[in-house]
Amino acid sequence: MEIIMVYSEITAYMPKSLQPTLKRLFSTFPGIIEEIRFKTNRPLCISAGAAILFVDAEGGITDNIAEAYTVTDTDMTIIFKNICENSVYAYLDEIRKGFITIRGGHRVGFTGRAITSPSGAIENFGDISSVNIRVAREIKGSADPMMKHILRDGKILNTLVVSPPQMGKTTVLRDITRQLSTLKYKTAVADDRGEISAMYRGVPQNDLGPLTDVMFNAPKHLAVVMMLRSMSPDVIITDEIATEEDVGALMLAFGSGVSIIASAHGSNKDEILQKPIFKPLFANCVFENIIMLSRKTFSRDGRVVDGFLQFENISL
Amino acid sequence: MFIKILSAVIIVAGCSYIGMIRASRLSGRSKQLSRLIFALNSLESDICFKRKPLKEAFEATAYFEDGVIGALFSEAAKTMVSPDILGGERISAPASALGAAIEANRSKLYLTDGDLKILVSLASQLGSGDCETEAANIKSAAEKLKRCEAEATEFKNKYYKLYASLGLFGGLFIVILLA
Repeated sequence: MEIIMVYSEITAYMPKSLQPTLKRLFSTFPGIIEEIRFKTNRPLCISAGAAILFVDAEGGITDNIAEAYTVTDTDMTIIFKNICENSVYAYLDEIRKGFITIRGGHRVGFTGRAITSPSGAIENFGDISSVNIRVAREIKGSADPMMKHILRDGKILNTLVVSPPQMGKTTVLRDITRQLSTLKYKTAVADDRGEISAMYRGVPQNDLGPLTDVMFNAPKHLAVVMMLRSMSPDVIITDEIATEEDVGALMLAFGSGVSIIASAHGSNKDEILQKPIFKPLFANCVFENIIMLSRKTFSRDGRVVDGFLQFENISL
Repeated sequence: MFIKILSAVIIVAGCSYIGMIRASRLSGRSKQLSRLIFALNSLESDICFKRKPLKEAFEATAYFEDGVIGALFSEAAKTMVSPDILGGERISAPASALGAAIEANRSKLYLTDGDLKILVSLASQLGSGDCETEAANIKSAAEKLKRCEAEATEFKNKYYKLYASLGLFGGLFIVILLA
């Protein structure tokens, strides 16, 4: 398994005053920082696994909040403007969803004072108060032990990947996409939130293989239908099936003879099989496999220090 | 005698040349204003219909504009993503970048300080709003520049021949005085 985390793109978006701090931080702690959290007039902090740590002005880690670097409102304004490339109008769709994907596939989420329309929809944000940069992490090979259950005698079995949140469903789907595409299956990804592909200017920032087509930012059910018609895929891959429209689109794909790999939230097989929204899928035997993901963790002094992915394949 | 005639010719030619330069600046200003207004229309299209980020919109505008106006946008596009501008404390990167581009191309620009102030003021507003706001700001700047262009054209029509003639007659006057 190869874990890839690249931080260099992130520093380019930072204010000049913060760049040396972050460069030192990334060079001192490579590969473990998962999130960088900025809050106006509050300490700069990072998350690494289950731990939240403060960052001082020298780029070191501290438990003492008084020593931490305090993020200024000028820092926040510069970060937000740089993330939007000084072009808020170009990123309004993403701003309304609360996150922007930057070069490298890192996801920048933000909150603040929402500006809403009379109908209640979020139009824009004023006074950004928090920015959270989720460092892109590809784990190539995370789906290796599952591939023998997904691919049998050259046929892609319709598979549902299930787990509670934060267990690695998207990471596994990404690796499945890459592997199938590398094996020359025409792969179509309906990626409404950009989590699988991390699209930046039309280019997936994650390695999805050479034969993958991605529809980004479109509702899943529309993306599936459009790609069925336009991309002639061998397999359609999509993340987090949650609505009736999503299920309807998968039924259409099933009827068209295209293989389906999808993910859903759930803690166990029974919960998934009995969810009302998924009933049409199981009643029509759409899925041939359910892959349940879980994570075995190791703790020290009450803190989670390490963990690895486990899975259970259930043939239907 | 020959030297006197040669000197007279040089003086008249030199003064005529200065007069022509001065006159051509009048003509150059109205041409550059016209190109700038056209460039702003192109910029509006790239921002509002294609939703290109400012750097790309500036590059596209530069691509279709020859001469100093194209150079202005091209230089601004490059400067806008320089580490100093992106990481600096100045909040408006487009205004900083365009200001730097104007300074770099000063010698080739016939625009007045008033014309340039409209452009820099527009740049300081770009990038902060939605497409409708960007379009409104660009249209407002274009309208102001159109008034400047009309004034520049009127001034040129009035004074172009005067400046050109002044050069020639000034030279002749100097020759007569020296004779």
